Amino acid sequence: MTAEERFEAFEKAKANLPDRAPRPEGELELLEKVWAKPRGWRVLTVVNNDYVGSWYVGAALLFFVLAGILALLIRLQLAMPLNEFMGQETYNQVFTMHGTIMMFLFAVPAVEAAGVLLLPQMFAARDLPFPRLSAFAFWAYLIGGLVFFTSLFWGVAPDGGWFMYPPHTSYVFSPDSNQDWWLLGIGFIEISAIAGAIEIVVGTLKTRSPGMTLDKLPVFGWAMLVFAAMIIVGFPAVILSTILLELERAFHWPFFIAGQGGDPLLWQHLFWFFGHPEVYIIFLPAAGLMSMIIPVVARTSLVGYRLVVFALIATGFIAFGVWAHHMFATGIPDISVSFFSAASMAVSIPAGVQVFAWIGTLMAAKKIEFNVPALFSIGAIVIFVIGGLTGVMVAMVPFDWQAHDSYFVVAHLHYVLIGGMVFPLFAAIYYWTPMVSVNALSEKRGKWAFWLMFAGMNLTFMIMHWTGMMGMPRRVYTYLPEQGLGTVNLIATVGAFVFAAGIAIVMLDLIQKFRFGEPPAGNVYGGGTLEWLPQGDYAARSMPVVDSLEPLWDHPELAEESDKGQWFLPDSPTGRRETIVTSPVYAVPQYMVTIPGPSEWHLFAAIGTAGFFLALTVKLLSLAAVFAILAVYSVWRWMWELEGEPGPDIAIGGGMKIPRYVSGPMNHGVWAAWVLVTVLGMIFACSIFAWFFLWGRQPGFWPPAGLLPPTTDGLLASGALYLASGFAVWRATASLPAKGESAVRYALWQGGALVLLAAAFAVELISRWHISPSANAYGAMVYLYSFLNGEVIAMLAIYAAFNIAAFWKGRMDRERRVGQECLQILWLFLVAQALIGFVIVGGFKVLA
Amino acid sequence: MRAQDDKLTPWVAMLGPPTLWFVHFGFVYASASLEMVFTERATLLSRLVIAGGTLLFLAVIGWLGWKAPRFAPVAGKVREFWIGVTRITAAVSAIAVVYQAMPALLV
Amino acid sequence: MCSFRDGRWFEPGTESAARRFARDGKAGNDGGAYHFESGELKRGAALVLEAAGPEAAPVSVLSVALFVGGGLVLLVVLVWLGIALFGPQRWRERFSGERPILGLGLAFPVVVLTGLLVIGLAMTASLSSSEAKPGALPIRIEGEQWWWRVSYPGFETANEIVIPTGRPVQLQLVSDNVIHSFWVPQLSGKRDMIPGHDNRLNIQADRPGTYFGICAEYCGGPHALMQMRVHALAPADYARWEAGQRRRAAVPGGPEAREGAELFLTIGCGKCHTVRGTPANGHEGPDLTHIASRSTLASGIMPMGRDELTRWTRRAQDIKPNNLMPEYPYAPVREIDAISAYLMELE
Repeated sequence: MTAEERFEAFEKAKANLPDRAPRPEGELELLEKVWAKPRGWRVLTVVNNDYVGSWYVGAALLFFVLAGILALLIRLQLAMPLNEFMGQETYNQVFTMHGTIMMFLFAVPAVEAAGVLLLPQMFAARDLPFPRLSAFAFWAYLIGGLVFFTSLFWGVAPDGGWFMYPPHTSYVFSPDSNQDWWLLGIGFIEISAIAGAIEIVVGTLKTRSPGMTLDKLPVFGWAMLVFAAMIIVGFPAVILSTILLELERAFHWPFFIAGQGGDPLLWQHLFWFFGHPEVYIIFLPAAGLMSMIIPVVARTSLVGYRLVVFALIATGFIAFGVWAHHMFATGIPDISVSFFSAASMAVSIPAGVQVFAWIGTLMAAKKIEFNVPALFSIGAIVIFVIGGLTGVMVAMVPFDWQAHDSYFVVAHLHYVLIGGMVFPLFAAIYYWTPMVSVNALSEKRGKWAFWLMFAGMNLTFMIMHWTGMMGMPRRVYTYLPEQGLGTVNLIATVGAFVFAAGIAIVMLDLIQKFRFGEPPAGNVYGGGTLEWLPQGDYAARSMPVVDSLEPLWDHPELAEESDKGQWFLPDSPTGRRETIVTSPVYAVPQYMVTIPGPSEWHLFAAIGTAGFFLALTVKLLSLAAVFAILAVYSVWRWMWELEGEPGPDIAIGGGMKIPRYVSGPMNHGVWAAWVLVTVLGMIFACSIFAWFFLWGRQPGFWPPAGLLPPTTDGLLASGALYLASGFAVWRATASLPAKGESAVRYALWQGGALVLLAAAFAVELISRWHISPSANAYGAMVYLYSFLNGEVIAMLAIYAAFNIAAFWKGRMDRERRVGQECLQILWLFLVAQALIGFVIVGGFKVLA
Repeated sequence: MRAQDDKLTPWVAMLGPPTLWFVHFGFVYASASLEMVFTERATLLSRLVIAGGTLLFLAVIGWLGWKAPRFAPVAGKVREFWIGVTRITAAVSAIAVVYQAMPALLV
Repeated sequence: MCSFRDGRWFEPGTESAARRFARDGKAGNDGGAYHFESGELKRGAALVLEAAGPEAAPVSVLSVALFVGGGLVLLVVLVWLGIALFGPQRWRERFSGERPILGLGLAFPVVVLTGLLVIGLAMTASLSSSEAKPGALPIRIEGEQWWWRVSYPGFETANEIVIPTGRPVQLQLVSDNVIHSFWVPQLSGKRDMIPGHDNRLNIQADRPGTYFGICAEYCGGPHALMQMRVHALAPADYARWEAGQRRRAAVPGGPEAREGAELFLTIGCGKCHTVRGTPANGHEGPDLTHIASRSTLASGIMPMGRDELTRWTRRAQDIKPNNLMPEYPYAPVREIDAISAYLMELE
């Protein structure tokens, strides 16, 4: 079926719905059975997004509280000059953990959790397309995060700040394992953030309610789309920088050691290329939540929907041009810092549009009810605006030379993050708790909490603008009485406890009131989007076609129609979990995707991954190997159960039939492969930046005198082998036999491809065998390319083995081929990456 | 009616201007940095290159904004939405490109 | 490493020496070469706004303008929000819709931001703080863990930078260990000291005085206690100070000081410290040739004085944990005190 034919068929089907005919007997029972959540200890294997999403939010709040307690310890220590509450060693660990946990273990997971919890419901989809992937991301995050936190109790917590600048964090000045714990903790978040981003991109673009065109996508969907795209572009920079730092710490590859051709500033560029967009990665989803709540508060559609969408997109882009505004004081040339100053100004423009769209929506209200979500939303606007204004101030280079790394910046960032993320999140907690919990939260306590938090927050941080002007740098464990900073710090400490009291009220209320169960408290605030349709374990019973942003306001009858199964997909036609895959812009149904159900394998995979990294951190290599085997085996089992199988087309309602299995560019798995390729490509692009950056520090000495570059023969031979292996994979894919036909040609091509790949990598290593990676940054960079190739090769080898096994067992053939298509995409990417690396290394050889 | 849902054109049109902003950002940053690698200072040369390049980028962004209807999805209300978002994104991308070039003239 | 069990999690409170000094300490200022009053620092003031030189003054003005301007914009937003929440229905109907969003949220910021960008870039260019000015005094400052090595042409000192008023000074800011950042708010914005980078910063003081400085880039350990002073002297006073610094170390006078000088060498102080004119020529720690001419000790955290020196030598790890100076808690107090007596003669 072509896109046009599907479009026509869908138009016809829409005209036939809702279908008032009574639904067949047993249909609902089957649906309930298919989507039922396991009970007892097997509840841990649940993958339904409402459970996983709620656990995910809960875990994020746990880390919020833990990091908040650390913040109180910090404030206690700083309450008076030369306080002896904590020593500097402890303090340095505590402030590092506070920042790291808040950014990596609270903020990013919290908004990702909101996506997992809310997106499928907002789209009236049954679930996200890769539910086990989100469950895996959750478990890896929870296990890794908790272990990471306990490092505080053993006194081995990282103490290099959340920004981890080398050389302080490298092996010379931090020989103990503290910083390795940071790299470990961040490793988990990298994995789970990328996993979540894949899920959210594919979920938002491909599994919406049929007919939910992009102009009717709830703003939160847009926000999460931009969020996920930013993770895909931004996180690779921190993935690469953590790889570089760990390589330097473990094997002394001198990427950041000035005396050996490295440069500490390389870390800062890579870290902030991730680190500043990170702020928007946190803010945009929260802004999306606000844009869902404020219209409900105002009882009117969001004013300037398209402007808000523009603001999200523009912010997502411009955020990637501001990274060096964290480096204004590093002495990089005036003209270079000015480019970043300009971008930092530009990024404020969409933020202004965003804020005035919210106020404009409140303007359009007939009557505003000041309930708790409303209060937190309005408070968020006020706080965020103050943070935005101080952000413009620090974007001015001369002012930033003074304000940088002072308490002014502490004030600024807390206004931005508390106004831009914490308050919206609290509004969201009040607003959406009734969607999953049998009780709503208490309005009365919520109002107390809001006013305490609002007052405490301002008391704590408003004064800090001034503290910074008084000359108090950040990250100091104490200050002297002569500095005259006692009063301002005492005020901030008092404020912090007021703030904490407000948070404590919310947490206690959550503990007391939040209970899973049927039926949930429901739409207490009167929202108009699809997550307020009646829900079961299967989510909404059927998927209605929407014609506005708040369909339940315009057509209240939709709730009943959906619940009676009168819209799309009221049943479980294959007897397995499934949802409809739709086209990205118009949401025209394309095919039915089978979704995996509960399983212990993603859980074991998470344990294996966590154990692997932990064992590496404490340098127990054999234990690490055991965990690695567990992880790989579990992922294998998990993937084995994954793919749907071809069969007759399926009726989804209104007379429309869609296929059960589609390969090629429409397939959601293929999309995921492309997203993964983008991530790997960004890691590689960052490594190219690192190459040119380090070369620019010592041009003309690259490779430095006395070092020979890789041999030309070796590069050419290895390149030819890589190309040949790519060709072989392509042939293998093309020669997949139909079911029952001879498999010899496929097996030969695929096996040959593996052999060629191994040979290519071996020759690549031989070409540079005379270079030592630990002597000079040049050698380290040359080997870095091989390291990145090697990582992908290891992954491909396992994947290819998996495909051959699947083929052997008759689970793959000419029609059922998505596994092989994904392998081919990744494989061809690797070939391109290897060749580009050779061209760069070889090109510099020609120049030298 | 063409659904245009299997095409990348609308996405390229909508995301083109901010992408060009980023490419332009990389271009000005790289021009200045490269010159400084060899000459220690950013001189008139890189500034002229930046000024010329900026005009080119502005022209392409302007064209994408102006021609937005040509690339937007054809059917339904999403078309109007798409054109609106594309145009305002193009306008702000153009402003941001001008911002990006200002250091070359002022610093 | 510390752990929960051995009680260092909340490191229980014996009052540290630093705190006692901070409470009781007084500066010794008893004649001789040039002496600085300690305690004349500005206390509890917004140092950034109290500029004392041409590199900092425009930024003070800018800061005030930004605070005021930012406050005004905040007021506009709050009034607008107030109208949205509590305003009369008629106004709210008039102000809803996309137009005000485009006006206040897009056009207004674009105008303000463009103006700020032009000002910011012009100021960045004019402050362009790296190029040496004609007649500038060059001083090299190395960030150490956790103190400042200060090198003038011909001599070296530590933790206190003395400059003549009215004359531009070009600082060369370097480090060969971790990253530090040089910040004297009243004289200029900060500039990092990064291994492998040769950063420059111009400062100039318009009036005599003592200015507070501190490391602004987290450098681990006692980063908080890596402070310093800049003393700006009238040119004549500066010349007197400089001449004093160029001299070799004073020969100890009294018997106690002479004993101290000997002990200084026998217990190994000279392995790390230089006292020009004596066999002590170590380079790890601060140059002590004229230590008594400085107003503070231990990188700006204690006043200079004999008792303070004794306590510092005996309890350096208590006062400034993890710093690289070994402490001598078990050496006879009398001996350490003799060394202090010697050091106090090194003016």
